[in-house]
Amino acid sequence: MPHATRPSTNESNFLLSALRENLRLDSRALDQYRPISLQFPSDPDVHGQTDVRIGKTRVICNISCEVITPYPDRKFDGVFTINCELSPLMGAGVEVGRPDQTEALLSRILDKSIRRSNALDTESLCIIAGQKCFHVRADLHVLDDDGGIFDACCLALVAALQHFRRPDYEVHGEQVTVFDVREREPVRLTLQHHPFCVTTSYYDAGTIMVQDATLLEEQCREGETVVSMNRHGEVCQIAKYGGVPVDALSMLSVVNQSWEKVTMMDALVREALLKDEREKDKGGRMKAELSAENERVMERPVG
Amino acid sequence: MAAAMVLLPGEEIPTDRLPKPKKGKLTLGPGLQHTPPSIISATTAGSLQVDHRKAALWLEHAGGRYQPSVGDLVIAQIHHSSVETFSCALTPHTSFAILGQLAFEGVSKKTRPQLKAGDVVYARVSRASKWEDVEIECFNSATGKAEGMGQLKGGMVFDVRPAFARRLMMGTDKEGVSKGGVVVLEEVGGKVKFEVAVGRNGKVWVDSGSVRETVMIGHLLRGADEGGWDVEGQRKAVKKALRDV
Amino acid sequence: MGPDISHHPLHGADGSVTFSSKLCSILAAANGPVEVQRRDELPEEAAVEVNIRPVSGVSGPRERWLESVVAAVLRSVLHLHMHPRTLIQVTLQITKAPSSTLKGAVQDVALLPSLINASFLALADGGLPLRNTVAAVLLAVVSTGEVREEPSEKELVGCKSLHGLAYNNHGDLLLSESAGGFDLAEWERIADQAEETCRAAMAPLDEDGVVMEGTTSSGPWLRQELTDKAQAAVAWREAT
Repeated sequence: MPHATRPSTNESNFLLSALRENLRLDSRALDQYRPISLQFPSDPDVHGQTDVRIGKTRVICNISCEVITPYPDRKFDGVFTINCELSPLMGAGVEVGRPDQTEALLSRILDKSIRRSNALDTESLCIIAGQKCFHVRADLHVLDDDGGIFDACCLALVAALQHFRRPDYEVHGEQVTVFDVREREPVRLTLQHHPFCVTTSYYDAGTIMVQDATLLEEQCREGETVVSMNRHGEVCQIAKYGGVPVDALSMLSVVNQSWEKVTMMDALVREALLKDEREKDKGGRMKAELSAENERVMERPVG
Repeated sequence: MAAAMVLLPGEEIPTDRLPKPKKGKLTLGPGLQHTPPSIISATTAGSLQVDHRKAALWLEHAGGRYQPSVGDLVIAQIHHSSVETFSCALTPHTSFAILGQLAFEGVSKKTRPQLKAGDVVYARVSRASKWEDVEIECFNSATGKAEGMGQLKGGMVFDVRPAFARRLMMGTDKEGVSKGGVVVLEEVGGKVKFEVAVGRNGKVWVDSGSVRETVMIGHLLRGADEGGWDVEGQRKAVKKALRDV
Repeated sequence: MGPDISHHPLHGADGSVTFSSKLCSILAAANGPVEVQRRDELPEEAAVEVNIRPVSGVSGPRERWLESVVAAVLRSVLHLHMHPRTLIQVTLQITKAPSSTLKGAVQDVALLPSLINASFLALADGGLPLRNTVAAVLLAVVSTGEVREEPSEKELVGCKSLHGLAYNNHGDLLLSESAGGFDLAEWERIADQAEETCRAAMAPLDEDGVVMEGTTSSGPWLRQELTDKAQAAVAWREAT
């Protein structure tokens, strides 16, 4: 049975004494994130793939879609599913086929942050009510875990959703024509808002709070809170599954600190997408003004 | 300058490359396998290193997991104890190595070492074969002396690649030049007092007076290992780090 | 010239590599020898586990088949008897696949040579014990009857048959999977060409460690990659 390696007493004691002196092993500030890099595929025809790195942590996300029949009780909505798996790419400790606690937690948090908060407007995925709709599928793979996979996965997912283009379609009465990407230019998804996750770890009976913990820091922590919110300060979810009890007022300050980080991440994603658009713009395809907010699909007049 | 010969797995060493041993015995290091009577083939992709004096040859390979071999000094972490032994981890996700509770200097059946899960010891591999569990000991069984082995208290343990740990343990030659090309510890040791133990399994234990200094040493080790700094680069990095502390 | 390879992109796995051919990109990781589950333990040799993850969706029967073929080839390549009662784990994440316009069997065979090459490079990167070196190649017989090595996606559409073969450095055939219609004589010609290409991939370099002239289009890419990496690993020796 591949056993998880816990850090030694020496390491956890040292980490705690360092934190008490306001020091981290990589000399970061307690609330500082590691360098975040966001990459998109170089092929201009491929949309919806991101490769996110936070320090040594690395996550890839792939968005795909197909046309299906909507659920009978949600006739006016399309379907959006998130599939997130840890794999032995991260190291030998992951057992394939048996989802462990981290994977279940990750799926739940991403679900609450992105799906349940309606970040992706599922109504916009409907083609003909009750008959045809889009099923958008997000596949996340964690390639390297050096702590912060919740933050990295959420970032990768939101960036990929903004990068993705779904096929364009036309409705004539009862007939639907879904155009291939080569026939008509594909269309952006409608995102209501962009949620991001910020994980705060607790040490020393909950008195020391640290953001963006590395793997070693995660293994030595006493508890953690995962806050998902968007840059407008709207909180999508707060998760604190057990761990050391924490003062209620400090929870408020955690949410405030998270807001700062979310603003940072939002700006980062925005910039990366802009840069990617510019590099792939072949002249004339890009509108003068780029806006990712509430772009409703224009319905062609029938007839 | 002719680079050392690189062999791919399954390739045989040409006989003209083999050293001529005085006693007629060749020592094979990692990465090579002997097929009797006279074929020696590579089991990994690496560059062939020959030591004519010791009549030894091996393949040098940068990556990979540490494979225990008898005589190696390692830093082991206690996982749990049973009646007569401690089960220790040398590398993640492998079977435990067995450390006898009496394999320490100056212990007897009445005064056993007080080691708990999570403690760290400096030990030597006493037995390693593919058919049995690896065994380690914290003293020289011939003399009964600890010789620096035993529990490592306090300090911090840093992870490095096993190949880098080997370079750290290579020592210096007659002129005092580091054989492994790693000088960070010596350079820092000139200005900062600290204790260090290097485990061939890719772990370095450091204990200095202050947290800040230990963090600095860890940072330098990681830079030399992952950043691939050469000797000059290491000296510069050490100077800069000492200024900042 | 040859596939695009980058070494050791991951930190958690013992060995890793990204491998990109004309048709697909694969991120491969190898772990081992590590502790094995009681139920998978083999008394005299290491157990081999291969996991393949597609670009999108969950892995299904198609990935299971690919895994069984790759595992069988790796069992001939690894030194399983050096580490009994352990596990050698290879994970292959496909990051770019040929588009789904290709028919089932053709798409499966098209991936195999890249999967084998990526697995071997990941195992070599991780220093796992290997008995021999293996190179795999993809050959297509297009509608005109010509044989194309490492075909592009356009050449695959409407091809008469597709063959994935792998040879080791002793000239043994380790993999032969085909899709489409062909006769035995045609297969023999293809096998000969594949053997040539695989041997060229592992061919010795000349004194300066440079690619020799007059070899096939991709040259000794396997040897060049592994040699460059091994020499980089001992660069510190030259400096001291």
